[in-house]
Amino acid sequence: MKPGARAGRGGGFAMLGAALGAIVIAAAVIPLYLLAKQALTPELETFAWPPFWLPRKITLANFAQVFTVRELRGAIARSLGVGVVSAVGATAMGAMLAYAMARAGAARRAGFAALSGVRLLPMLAVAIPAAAMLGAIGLADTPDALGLAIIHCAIAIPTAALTLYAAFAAVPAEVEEAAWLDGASAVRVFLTIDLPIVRGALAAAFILCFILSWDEFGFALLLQQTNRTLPPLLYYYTVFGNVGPASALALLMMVPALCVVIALGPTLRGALITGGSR
Amino acid sequence: MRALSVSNLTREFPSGGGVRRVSLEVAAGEFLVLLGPSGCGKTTLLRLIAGLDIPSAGTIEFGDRSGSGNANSRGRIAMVFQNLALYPHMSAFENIAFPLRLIKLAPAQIDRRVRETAARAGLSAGLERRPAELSGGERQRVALARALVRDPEIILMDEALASLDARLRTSVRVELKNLQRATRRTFILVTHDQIEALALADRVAVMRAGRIEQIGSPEEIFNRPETEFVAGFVGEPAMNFFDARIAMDRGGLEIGGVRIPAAVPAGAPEAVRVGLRPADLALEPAAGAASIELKIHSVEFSGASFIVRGSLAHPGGGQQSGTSLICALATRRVEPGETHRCFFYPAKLHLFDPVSGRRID
Repeated sequence: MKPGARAGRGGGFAMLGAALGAIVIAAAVIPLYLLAKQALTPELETFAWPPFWLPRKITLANFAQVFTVRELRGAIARSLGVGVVSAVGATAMGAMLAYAMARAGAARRAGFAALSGVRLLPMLAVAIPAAAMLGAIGLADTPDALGLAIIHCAIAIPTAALTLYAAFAAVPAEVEEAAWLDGASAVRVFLTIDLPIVRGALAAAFILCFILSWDEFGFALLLQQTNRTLPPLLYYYTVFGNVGPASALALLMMVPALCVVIALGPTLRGALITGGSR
Repeated sequence: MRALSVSNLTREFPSGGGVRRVSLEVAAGEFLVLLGPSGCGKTTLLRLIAGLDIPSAGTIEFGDRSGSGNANSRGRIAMVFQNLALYPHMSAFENIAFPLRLIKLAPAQIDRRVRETAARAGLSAGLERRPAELSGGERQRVALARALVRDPEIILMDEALASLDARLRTSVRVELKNLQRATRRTFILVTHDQIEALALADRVAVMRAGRIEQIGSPEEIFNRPETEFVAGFVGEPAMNFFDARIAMDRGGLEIGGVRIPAAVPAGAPEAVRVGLRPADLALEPAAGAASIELKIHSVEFSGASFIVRGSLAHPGGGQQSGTSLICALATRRVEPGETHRCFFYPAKLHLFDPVSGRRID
C-alpha cells in the first residue's frame, strides 16, 4: 500500500472532523457572544432593527447597575454557600457509593439502577412535594438556604457517583490487598489509599456538582422565594425587562465556573477522560 | 521449626482452577517455590495462605503450635504481588513506611528502619520518588522492602520477578536468594519459570490442576521426577518421551523396535513411557552407552552446545514411538537431513507408567 493513500484518507477525516468541530464551537460561542454584546452595549442596540452583529457603543453601565442591586451580595453568598455545601456532600456520598459499586457486584447493579432512576425522574415533578416537606420542617426559604443545599446535594449524587465510579474501578484490587496485608483496616484503606489515588476524579466530581448547583433554577425558584440565589434573581431581572443588566449578571455568573475550569483545566480534562486514576 | 502447615486445603471456582485437598508443610527459614503452568492453582494457594481468599475446606496453621489459625496471619505475613501493587500516590519512602505508620512507630524509628530495609533490598537512592518515576528494578526493590520492613515471618511472592526483563531478573534472583539467606525468613514464591524455581528454591512444589504433583529439593525434582508431568515440565529443552515395550526376557526395553539393554524394574507393566533428557543424549560415543539413530530435522546453536532435533531413523521409529521430534545436545555442528547415531546411558532413562503417569523404579 502506498503511504500516501492512508495519509490522504486520514486527511479527509481530519478535515471533516475540523468542520464538525467548528460547527459545535460556533453553536456554543455565538450565544455567548450575543450575551456579552448585550451586556456591554446600551439596551437600544440590543433591540435595534435590523439587528447588527458588531457592538457600536461599549458601556459598563449594565454592570454598574447590577452592582447597585441590594439583593445581589446576599444572592452571591447564598449561591456560593449552597454550591460548596451541596458539592462537598454529594462528592462525599457519591464517593462512598461509587466505591461500593466499583468493589461489589450487588452494589454495582443496585447502584446503577438507582442512579439511572434518579436521573430519569423529571426533577421538577418532585419539586413541589419536596418544597412542601422542607417547608413543614422549617427549611424552606431560610436565609442560609440549607434546604436548597440538601436538595442540590441529592440531585448531584448521581453525577458525583458516575464520575467517580470509573476512577475507583481503575484502582487495582491488589493495591488494596497490599494495604490490608500491611495492616490497614478497610476504612483506612479507603481513606489513605483509594481516595488519594482518585483525587483528580474527586476534584472533577466536586466541580461538576458545584456547577450543577450554581446553575440550578427550578428548586431554587420554588424553595427560596425571598432569600434568592443567583438563577432566580437573574430570572426576575429578565422578567422585569432589564435585559442589559440581566445579561451582565449572566456573564458574571459564568466567572466562577470559568476560573475553576481554567485553573484545573489539564487535571480536570484528564480526570473526565480517563476516570482520574492517575 | 515449622513456619506453616496447610492441610487438605480446598478452594474451587465456578470458572475452574483453584486448589483441591492440598497439604503442605513449610519449615521456618525455608525457601519454597510453587511451580506450575498457569491455572494450576499456585496463585490461589498463595492467596489462601495470605488470607486474601477463604478456603472452602481445610486448614492453614502458622507457627509451631497448631490452632494459631488464620485470624492473626496478617501480622506474620507480607506479600509481594505480581503487579507489585505499590501505592502510586506515595513516594518510595512512604510506600515502605506505610506498614510502620500503621503500627504507630516513632517517626525517627520509621526513618531508620525504612532506610535500613531499603538498603538491604538494594535501594539506596531515589526514595523520594514516586513509583511512576522509578525503573522496573527499583519498583521491584521498593515492593520487596515494603514486604520486609515489618520483619514478617513469611514473605509471599507472586510471580514477583515476572515484570523484570531477562537480564535484570537474573541479577535480582541472585540478590533475592542472598537476601533470604541473610534474613533467615521463610519465603514462598510462585512462578511458572522452572529455571527460576530450580535456582531459588530449597524445595520446589510442582503443581498441576489444583494438586501438588511432587515436592522436593530442586535436585530431586530434576533428577528423580515422580510423574511424567513433572519430568516434562522441568528442564529446558524439555525431556524426550518415547513409548516403549519391556522385552520378553525382561532384560531390556524396545523403543521403536530397537532393543536397549537396561535394568527393568520388577513391577513394570509391559508398555511404559520412557523419558530421556536432551542433555543425556549426545552424538559422541561413550563406553557402555546405548544408542539410537536420529534423522536430523533442525539444528540451533545455543552457545554452550547445538540443540539438535530429529526423528528416529530406523524402521519402526518416528510416529510409532509416540514422539514427534527427539532433542539431543551436540558439541559440533551437524546438518539437517543427515543421520547420526546418538548415545545415552540406559541408567539415565526415566520410566513412567503410561496410565497413571507415575514413576516406575
